[in-house]
Amino acid sequence: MIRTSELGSGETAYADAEWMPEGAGGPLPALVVGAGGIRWCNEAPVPLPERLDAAAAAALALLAVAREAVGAAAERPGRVEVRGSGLVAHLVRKLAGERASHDPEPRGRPAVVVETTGDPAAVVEATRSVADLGLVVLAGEPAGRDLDLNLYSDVHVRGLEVVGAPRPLRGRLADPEPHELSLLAETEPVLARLEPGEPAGAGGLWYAIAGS
Amino acid sequence: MSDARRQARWWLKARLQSLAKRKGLVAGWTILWTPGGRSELVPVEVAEAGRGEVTLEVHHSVVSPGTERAQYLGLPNARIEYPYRPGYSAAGVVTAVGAGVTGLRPGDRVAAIGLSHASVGTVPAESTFAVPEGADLRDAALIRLGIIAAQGVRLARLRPGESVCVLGAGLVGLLAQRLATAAGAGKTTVVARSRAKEGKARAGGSDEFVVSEGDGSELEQLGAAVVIEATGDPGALALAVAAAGPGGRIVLLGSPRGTAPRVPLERIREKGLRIVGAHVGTLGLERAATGQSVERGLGEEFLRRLADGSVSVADLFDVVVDPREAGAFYRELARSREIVGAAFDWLRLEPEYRVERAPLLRRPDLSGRGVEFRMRPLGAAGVVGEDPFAGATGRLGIGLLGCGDIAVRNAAAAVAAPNTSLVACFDPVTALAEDVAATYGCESAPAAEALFERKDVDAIFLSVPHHLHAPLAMEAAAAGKHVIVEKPPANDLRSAVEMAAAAERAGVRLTICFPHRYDPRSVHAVRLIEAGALGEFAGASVSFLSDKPASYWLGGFSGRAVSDWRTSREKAGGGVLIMNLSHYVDLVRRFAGVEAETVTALAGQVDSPGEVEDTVSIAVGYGNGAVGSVFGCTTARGIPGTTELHVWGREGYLVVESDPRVYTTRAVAGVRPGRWQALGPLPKTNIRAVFLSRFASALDRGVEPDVSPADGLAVQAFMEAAYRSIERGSAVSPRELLVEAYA
Repeated sequence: MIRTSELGSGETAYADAEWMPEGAGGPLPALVVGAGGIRWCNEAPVPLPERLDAAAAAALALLAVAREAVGAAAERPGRVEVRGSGLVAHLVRKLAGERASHDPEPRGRPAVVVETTGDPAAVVEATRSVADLGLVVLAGEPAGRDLDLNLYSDVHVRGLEVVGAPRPLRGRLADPEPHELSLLAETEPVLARLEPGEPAGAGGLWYAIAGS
Repeated sequence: MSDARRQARWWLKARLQSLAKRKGLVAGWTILWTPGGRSELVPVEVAEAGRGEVTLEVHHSVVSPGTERAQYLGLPNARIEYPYRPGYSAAGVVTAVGAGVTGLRPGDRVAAIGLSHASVGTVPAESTFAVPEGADLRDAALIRLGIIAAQGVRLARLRPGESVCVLGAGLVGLLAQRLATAAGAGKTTVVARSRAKEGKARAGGSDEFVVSEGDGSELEQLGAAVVIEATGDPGALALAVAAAGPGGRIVLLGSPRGTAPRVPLERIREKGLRIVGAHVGTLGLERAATGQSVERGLGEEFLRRLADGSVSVADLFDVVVDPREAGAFYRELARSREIVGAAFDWLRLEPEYRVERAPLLRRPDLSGRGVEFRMRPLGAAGVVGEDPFAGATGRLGIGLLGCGDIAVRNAAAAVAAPNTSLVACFDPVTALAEDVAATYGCESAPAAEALFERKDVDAIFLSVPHHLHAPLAMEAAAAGKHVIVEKPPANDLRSAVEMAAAAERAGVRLTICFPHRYDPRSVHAVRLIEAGALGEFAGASVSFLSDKPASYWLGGFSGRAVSDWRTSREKAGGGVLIMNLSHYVDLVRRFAGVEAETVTALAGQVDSPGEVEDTVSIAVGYGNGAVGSVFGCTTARGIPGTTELHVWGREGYLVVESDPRVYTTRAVAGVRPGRWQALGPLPKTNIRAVFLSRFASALDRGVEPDVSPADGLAVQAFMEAAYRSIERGSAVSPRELLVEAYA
């Protein structure tokens, strides 16, 4: 994780709304975009694609996470529930389409739960709310929070699969698919900008915190 | 629930099922757990196969060590309700087939799931699997565990050549490793906490065996495509994550006992890992969801692999258990994590008890827990009374020296034994000798020397005060007579040693009258101990209580010979210990089979005349680490004379006196394991007559008597150690005193 006070001049940290449970003051997982490229927290940066600005690159990285999550969910037929209110959750819902459409009166448990908050309590809830033999996709950032899980009752006996959706930023940022470009175009308006240390308020799916 | 209520419920349930199916009943035995960690073999009845069912006579049932250990210990996620019948995997032979069942007939070999450990069972036909030729029935009894392991390998979606890491070298882990190898896995690694099971892992084809006791950092380099977690340890998930490579699959095969702390979510995401819950119950969930049964395919393939040798499992059985010893086995399972595989061998029960027809109108056994006087033996006929004089040989002429209190009983014994005769007697008090002579038909000798000189006297029986034992015994030995000494051997250890040495020099036999060895209770106790009912000796306790009247100190209990020698430390050697407890010191030694190493004693003289103790308490440390106690008190008001003698070992407990009964977890002929059982009915025996008869037979055959001089000296040394301990206030070694006395 990274503290925004550690951001260099010219660097901007981008964080999904769910990654900031305590606001922007403390350490948080984040995508950092600067002169060297784009990187996850303290990992090595990869070059930005030429046509993309920092926010678009960050959005593309988060889209890659959402893509991994949707790819995992595709293995299971049935309803998909997406937990979270940040950009990753938004993108997953969009990519999953009909399968993740909000049904005000859902029948039965979902076959897949994509968990984007990273909150340990929410992860436990995801395992308990998914159908037997269901799939839980972990697409949230734990942000240093501990998860204690009763594997027997919450995973083992019910035959669940729990899949980690990785952050696929290996070597380069993958180019968006054509149908994903419109999704990227939507992300800018829902990006809220914060100063370092400024608490996160309502309204953003994801946040940009500029370095000092 | 009491045993009686349980039996009643089972009785009723079996008959209702029998009537509903219009089928007969078969009876057998099953393993049952009841509160307090009890595990025993109890009778069970089942209705024969109805529509869609199969009845089988079980040959082997396999123990699931992890599951059954967790259940036995009441670990998290393994709670059971008592009474409980453990087990779920067995194999045997079909005895009956219900309507609608195809492909099976009586005599067919089958493996069955869902069957508790029992010698007989009726199960749905869909729970049975035909055992192909070439597969051993005991191996096939692993069916349920084989399906569990196979389900794990299946959910891992193993591709040929992929590397597999198995965490845990228990039965399920090793089975999973062998099935993965048979399914074409690449490099396989087994990870465990110690090397104890490395041999089995490598025998099953594991390429590597890693010992991991820490955070699993040594597993990072494995990068396994598949990790099968078979430990059931919730903390093992972190190790599985460490061992898995990017995109790896982690299969939770062991049932985690507790909450997994600090699940490494970051690493799970980072590596893109997939964690799959593979409890065997998911097979039922799959069937409910898809309408298709995967279980049958997994089971049949497992058995096929056993038959064609592509998977071998015989080496996984560490222990094959007699079902009667279930109690002892589960205690061992609870203690030890070294048992990989175990099976109950039901063929060890007598065939007629294994499975038999049960009459519908038979009354239920509502005897409940406790002593059972009339029980059907599980094995051969139990210990029964027999002629204690059988095999008596020779003819021993006895001269009785001393005609006081105890001598009367010795005279009667010499007359009663078939191979001894009371030839003559002597006592300084002529009237006493003449009384014995008249009563028991022998001559009254004019002097002790006259007894020693008679050619028709082969052995001198000394029934005199303790301080006279050694000098008179040495005189008798010098005269060429065998010597029988009333207990104790002497009034002190040095005198006893001198007496024994004198007998050896003279080439005559010396024995000490410890007749309690021939009490039927003691005889039965020894036989049970020698049959293994108690296991390794772990302790003994003796408690002797009586209320000796004031007159005892002047003339014994009979008052025949007036003398106060019993109050003299010099003449008697001591009080209750040497006078009464010496019998039991000898008996405990006989039962224990190990010598006392240390003796720590306290004594008191509460309300008795003279110089001797009337109360003594002794703590005994034995050579094998066992601990015992000896207590005696002759001022216990209102107690006419009672003894409690208890002996126990790791596997059982024996009450020899006063209410003889035995409890054992071992399969001993005639004894039902896991239940208290009386030793009776016991015959009345003239124990002194038996003692003399056996001495006579030993002399005739030229062998050492039952009670040898060494036995006598060991008892004497014990008592001397106790008296020294009382004086010093610290522990004393009987062995060291004996060495000292010989020096």
